[in-house]
Amino acid sequence: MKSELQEVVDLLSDEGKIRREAMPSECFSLCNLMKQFEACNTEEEHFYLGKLESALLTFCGRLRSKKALIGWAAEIEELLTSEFSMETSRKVQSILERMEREVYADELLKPITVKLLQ
Amino acid sequence: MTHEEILKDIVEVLHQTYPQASIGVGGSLANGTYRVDSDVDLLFLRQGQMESYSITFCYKGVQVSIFSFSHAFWQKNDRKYLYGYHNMPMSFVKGVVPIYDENRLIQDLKDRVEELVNRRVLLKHILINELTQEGRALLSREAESVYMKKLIHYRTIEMLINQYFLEFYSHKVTGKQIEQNVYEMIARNDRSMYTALYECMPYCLKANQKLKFLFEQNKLKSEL
Repeated sequence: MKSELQEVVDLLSDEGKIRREAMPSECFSLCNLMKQFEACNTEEEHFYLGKLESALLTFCGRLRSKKALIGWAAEIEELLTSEFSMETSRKVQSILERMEREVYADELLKPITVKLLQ
Repeated sequence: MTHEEILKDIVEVLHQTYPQASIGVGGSLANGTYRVDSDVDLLFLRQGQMESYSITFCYKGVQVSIFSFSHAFWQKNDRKYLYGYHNMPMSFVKGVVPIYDENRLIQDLKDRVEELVNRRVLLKHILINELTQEGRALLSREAESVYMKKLIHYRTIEMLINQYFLEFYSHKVTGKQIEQNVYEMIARNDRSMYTALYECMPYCLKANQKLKFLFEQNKLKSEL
């Protein structure tokens, strides 16, 4: 069996394969969002909420561009139409956790993560 | 295995397989500030490559990321890095130490980053005024939904922060730390701007009025 390093070395020779293996961009955004939730205890609450709300709006835009994900976008957007608070953020977090499990579980388990840089 | 040994292992395998490729080390390993839990970040460039990507995997218990950029990537993102303080790939490239660079691909990329920063310094007043025009247009838009109102709100805040960075730090390539803690940095350097931004977060009707006021103030300052 090939080592991961050898797999990566082989992958580097084939840009077509890199494209095919790449993680969907919204999955990568989802991982970044999950990291943002972790910043909750280190940041000033006001700025934490502002940054999070802004990132979520952008994220929903990404989801909307993929037909299969429009339902998830609608679910999050519904929470974003009112005032954004810590309680709202917790509700959104639980939707995103569900999304990780139901949509991207396989993707997130891959030992080699390929991300296309736009 | 130490980080240096891991680096040596990977770089040698890459160089043996791709002798014409340029390979460099970046991040904390390049500047000597790495810790036991730090990643190993590499830059890998090949002549004529079309894609830009990062590949992350685990090697001997350490996370390794290989970054690679095409010319098209920098052309496409020129405007973004010229106006914005989100300089992550630029700060990474700037800090890279070349290991194999016979074809000067890494050096050319570093020169490109330097050229972009010089251009930003020269053009900063023009760029600030352009952002002002853009912000003005944005704020005058009739948003058809709360969702759009919020989007406009945060885009305007982003513009204000970009203006702030252009005004005071156009010569700097900001790193990940600044990007992630931009408000802390503003708090240290400009308390009144920090307080004003604080009142604009998160979105609410009151915050929207505050933002419009702040934008007007800033706009006037940049046009003087």
